Amino acid sequence: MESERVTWKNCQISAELEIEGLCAALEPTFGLRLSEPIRAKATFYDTFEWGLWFGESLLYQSGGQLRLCERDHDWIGDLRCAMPMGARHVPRFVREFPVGDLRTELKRLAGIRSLVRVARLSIREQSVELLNDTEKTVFRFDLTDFFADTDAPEPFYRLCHFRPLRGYEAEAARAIEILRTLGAREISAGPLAIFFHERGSTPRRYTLRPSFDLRTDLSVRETARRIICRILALARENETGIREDIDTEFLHDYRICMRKIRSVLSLIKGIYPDEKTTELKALFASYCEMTNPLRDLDVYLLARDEYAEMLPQPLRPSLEEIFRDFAKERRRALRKVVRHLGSADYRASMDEVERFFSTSTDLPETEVSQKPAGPLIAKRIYKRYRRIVKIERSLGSDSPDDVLHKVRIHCKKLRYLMEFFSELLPSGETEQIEKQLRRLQTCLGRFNDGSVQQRTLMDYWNRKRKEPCDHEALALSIGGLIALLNHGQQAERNRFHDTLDDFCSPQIARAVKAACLDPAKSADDSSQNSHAG
Amino acid sequence: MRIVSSYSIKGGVGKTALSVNLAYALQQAGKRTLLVDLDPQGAAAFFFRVSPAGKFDMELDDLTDAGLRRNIRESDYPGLDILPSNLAYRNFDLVLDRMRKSRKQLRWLLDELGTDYDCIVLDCPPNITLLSENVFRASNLILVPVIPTTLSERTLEQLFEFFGEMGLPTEILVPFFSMAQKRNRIHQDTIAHLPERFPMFLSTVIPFTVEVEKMGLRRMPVLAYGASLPIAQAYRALCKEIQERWDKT
Repeated sequence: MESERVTWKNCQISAELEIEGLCAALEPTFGLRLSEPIRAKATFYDTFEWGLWFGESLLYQSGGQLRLCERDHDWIGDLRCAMPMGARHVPRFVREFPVGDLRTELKRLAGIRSLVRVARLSIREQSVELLNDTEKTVFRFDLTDFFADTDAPEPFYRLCHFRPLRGYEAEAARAIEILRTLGAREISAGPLAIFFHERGSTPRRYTLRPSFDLRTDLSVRETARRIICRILALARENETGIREDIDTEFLHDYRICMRKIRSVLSLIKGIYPDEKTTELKALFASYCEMTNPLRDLDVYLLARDEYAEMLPQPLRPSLEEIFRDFAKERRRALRKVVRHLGSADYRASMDEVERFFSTSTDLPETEVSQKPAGPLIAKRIYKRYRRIVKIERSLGSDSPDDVLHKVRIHCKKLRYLMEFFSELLPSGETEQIEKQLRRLQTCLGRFNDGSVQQRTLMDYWNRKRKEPCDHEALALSIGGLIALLNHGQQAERNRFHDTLDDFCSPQIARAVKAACLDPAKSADDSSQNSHAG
Repeated sequence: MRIVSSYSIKGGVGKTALSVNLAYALQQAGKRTLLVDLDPQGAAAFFFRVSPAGKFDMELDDLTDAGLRRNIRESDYPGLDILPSNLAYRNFDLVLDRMRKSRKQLRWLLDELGTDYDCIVLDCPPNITLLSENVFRASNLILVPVIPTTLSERTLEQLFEFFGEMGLPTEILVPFFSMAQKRNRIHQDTIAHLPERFPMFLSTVIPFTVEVEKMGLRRMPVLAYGASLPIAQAYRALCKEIQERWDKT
């Protein structure tokens, strides 16, 4: 009984048990004092990726307050921060929150993802005090009933939270024992977990790097099929978010998925006969292209604050105008994408593609399609790395931008190769390589974004100069931005040389060699090790 | 952590009524408070419906913070704990006597407990004993209820003399008038003149009322059930003054 008292801070008790029945069971042993029940409503928010839930946090609005709390037994735990806010005014994006603790914390948990309503519960709480014969309180507990809707008649869950009093441990143990005879049990899943489960929306971890269940001895074709099938499913998960325009990351992830699928098809030549490969690549490219204008505008609009900070105050009003135009263009671009995703053509084409990848195909075999994937992939990775090293050797600080672009493409391909097939490579080596690769890619990515942004601004100016508007102010702002973007880009370029040096260092070269040149052996070694361990 | 004691050489002066209401007022002000009932009558704990803690062997080994901790009881007001009295306290003096440096033993014990609390209120038995001396050396403030009679002046003098002889700081002594009767001329005269000799007197006067007796029937501090009663108002004013005095020390 002693240990029970220590571990049970609360319990779950049948929601069907009437409070009268509960009292009747306790009354022979204790005097009872019941508080008036309190009713409250709470609305919970999270992101598509369940960033708050998996960050062990809950964000909820209740009684004019928005509170961020710890998640404790899948319910509200200790308060971290709060601010006064009505239910109708909870912003969709963290950037719309006033500067403060709440915003900082939410930024960490939600990033740029939209906060969406995930649950609206009604709660009834009543505390019960158990008294001894001198009417001294010897044990307390709070009964909380959870209603799945604001007007649901029956609770779907009842939580009993113990509040023992110091020095009355024996009485607490007796009370808990009585509750146990009434069916009280330790909490396995808390109220919110049950709520989500019953609605079929159990929080699940979302990642763009799922596991593909690969083995080195699987054929090239089967390996590719498993990867594509999984990534395609991920892409489709994001469609609703794009159509409902919940946040920009749905489209971003959708596009990454499509690009990855295309990469799988081109990184290993000969998965399918050439004409099929060409057809598939073109198809996935078309899915992406449809969304290009929308994504470009998203990138711009997300950088809005950053741009505003770059320019001095007097130049900002015309920046506002630029963003107003972009926002208008985005609305148009979004409508197009939504129409496309909802079209019968798109759905039919997607269904067909899904069917194609869901089972093995009867297309004729190629030279490599039935070879085991492991050794082939390792060779590809090694070859790709050598090519980057070769470029690095020929590189000077005055090399044209084209060379940087080439390195960027090679890096991207190498990154995808390593990402898709990381399950086939010894893990210790690849982590180090991928880390350096990420650094290099970040740098090249920024460099490339700089070029794109400057070009887009120039295009915008060329359009606007033909329309009636305040040309002088606009030219000043755009000129200022282009100069600053160019400056930033040059800084990235300098950083690029250092990062590339690191990536081509003997240390990384050795790691790549170890991971790739005899991967079958390395993989065997590592699996043996893991068995031994 | 602060330690404040309610003490008087004489019994029946409203000492326990003060301890109980002060402890409650501190809890209400959000301070984690421990009320230690050192009076063998156990009246302070009685007001909180806390019964004596079983067999509390006041053997040398048991007079430790762990020994005390075991006997602490949570009151009905979260944040206010009670260390109930026990008849075994009668032997407290004997136990203290056996220990070296026995005059500071209580302070050390309470310092150990102090990590759990913001304030400790000691309800002391009357008379001057080794236990009282321990209380004097442990306390940051000693509240002394004084019934405004001619005799009370003499009692107060004795206390100050004792402090002088033992080299104790007299500035921790804080007297106040208790059980004062409005229609009693001697009471009113004493209230008017005694503070001239003892300027450390608190200005709040606790009136005599049967309500204090009723506390025994209700078994809770009057502040908890009769907040609007004049006596409750007086206790609130007194507690406020005590905290101000306390902040100055």
